[in-house]
Amino acid sequence: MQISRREFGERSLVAGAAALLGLSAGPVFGDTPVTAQQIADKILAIMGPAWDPASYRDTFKMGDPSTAVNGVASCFMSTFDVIKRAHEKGLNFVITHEPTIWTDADLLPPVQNDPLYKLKLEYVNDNKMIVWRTHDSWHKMQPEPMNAAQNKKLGWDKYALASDPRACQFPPMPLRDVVAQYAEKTPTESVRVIGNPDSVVESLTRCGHSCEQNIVGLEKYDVAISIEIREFETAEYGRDFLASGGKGAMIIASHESGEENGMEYFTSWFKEHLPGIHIEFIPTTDRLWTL
Amino acid sequence: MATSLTANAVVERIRSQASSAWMGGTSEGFQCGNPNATVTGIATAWTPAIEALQKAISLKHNLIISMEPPFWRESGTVLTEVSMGTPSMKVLEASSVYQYKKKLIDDHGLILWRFNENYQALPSNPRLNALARTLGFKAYENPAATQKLAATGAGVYTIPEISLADLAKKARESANAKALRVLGDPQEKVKSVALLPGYIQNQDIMAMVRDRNVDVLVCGEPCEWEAFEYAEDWITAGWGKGMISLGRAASEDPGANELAGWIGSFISDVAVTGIAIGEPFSYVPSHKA
Repeated sequence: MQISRREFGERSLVAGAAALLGLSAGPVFGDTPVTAQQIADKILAIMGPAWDPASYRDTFKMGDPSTAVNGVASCFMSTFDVIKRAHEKGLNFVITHEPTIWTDADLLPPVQNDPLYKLKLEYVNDNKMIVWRTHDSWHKMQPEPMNAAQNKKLGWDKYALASDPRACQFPPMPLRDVVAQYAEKTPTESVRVIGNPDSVVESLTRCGHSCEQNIVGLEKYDVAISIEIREFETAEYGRDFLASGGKGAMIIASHESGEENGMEYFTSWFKEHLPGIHIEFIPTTDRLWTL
Repeated sequence: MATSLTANAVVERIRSQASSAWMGGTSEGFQCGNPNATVTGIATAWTPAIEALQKAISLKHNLIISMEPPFWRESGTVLTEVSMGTPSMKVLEASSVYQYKKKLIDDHGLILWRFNENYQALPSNPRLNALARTLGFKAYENPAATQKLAATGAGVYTIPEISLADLAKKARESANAKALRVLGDPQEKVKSVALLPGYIQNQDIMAMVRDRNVDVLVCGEPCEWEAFEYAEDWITAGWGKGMISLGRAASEDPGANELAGWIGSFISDVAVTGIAIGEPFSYVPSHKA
């Protein structure tokens, strides 16, 4: 499905073929096949001040950025499963929020002799795919898109506090109801609660992954929601919080649960700003199950 | 006789019993209390949670030995845990939980000693073996494969073939891990297990699966968005079938009891009690109507 100039020398043919694929050879990209680099450049130009060129996260991770793009797959994380599903849909440019080779900085030295890394890289290269990450820049957009998208998905946007976009204030309800809303509407089974389900709560804040944010958050709000924590520090603080008589609760969920909605929103943002470039959201899901 | 046993003396006895190759420069050491105070009893717990301290107080044990430090962060120069947002001392001191726990320790004259790297390096590997026994794996150990993974502290077991779902159910019951989480097709049959308690990083998982002789991983707390996703990709590749994450506490509790038994084998002056604190999670919501 790859379009190349060699095959389509005539501009009209390029435009025709591109239209079939949902691509456009509009003024931004000229009359040559759209490359991953061009799409990334365009995204960063639109993001403007949110983009930090020094970010080690927001870079190309696999593949050749000058490869022509057949279609874009957006996702929370470029797992091997997501990459395969993108390829099966004929999408060769994966835009991911999180890493590809299992560390924040996508460090090569720890994995370069690892057979799974080699398999994943080979799959990407053999299928002329490209993986690029947008993390820091996307988080810096205003309003912060991850929390905003999740509030919308959960129907919590009406409770969001203007003074603190991570927080919500809502009519008093049992903790179990807040948890049920989160568990039903976010794409994960990995929701673990530290707190009495019958306790009545009326405010919450999101604490990311940080132990310190959880400590500070619980001093001010009833519920601290965090996505991916370290159990020895944050979960154990939660246990001690209850044991010391603390009134409140922690909802500890998987990283995916907090950010999939935000990357689904990225997909509609992309469609609005880069019309004519075909993009599909591929759910990562953590694929965890519980008993 | 008990009147002459100080906390320092207990630590000296542990050092001499542990092995001749006691490692220095570790994260271990006294965290709270007076090392020269007389020990009235010894409690072991993987982490000195408030509930563990209260249990020790009720048993009149004033020396608590644990892998973890008491205030949810490492304060020394040797860091063994991968923190996410380490709380500053300023934030901690302002926390009502910190104040409560600190007062509890001070008011009862508790002495806390951290036993971490050298605990994990004990030749008898009580941490792994206690968990393996709890899960019913120990009798099926493949000693050569375990030996090969000695650097990670993991064990390898060839258990009677079982579905991933049934293995998870059994693990949930036997390890009291109600909040466990599982990756992989529940119907897949598994039989070759690599087991590793505690916090699991990529290098551990990579080592555990490198020989491709393992089809299921049973772990404490795999690092999310690193080790979890590595395991997911391993399953996607068709090289593995599943991973069961018990949770850090559920994976460490059996070791605390085993450690108490070991210390009690050479210290008879005072009582030594292992305290299993259970998992910190109150509940897991039923998912999706």
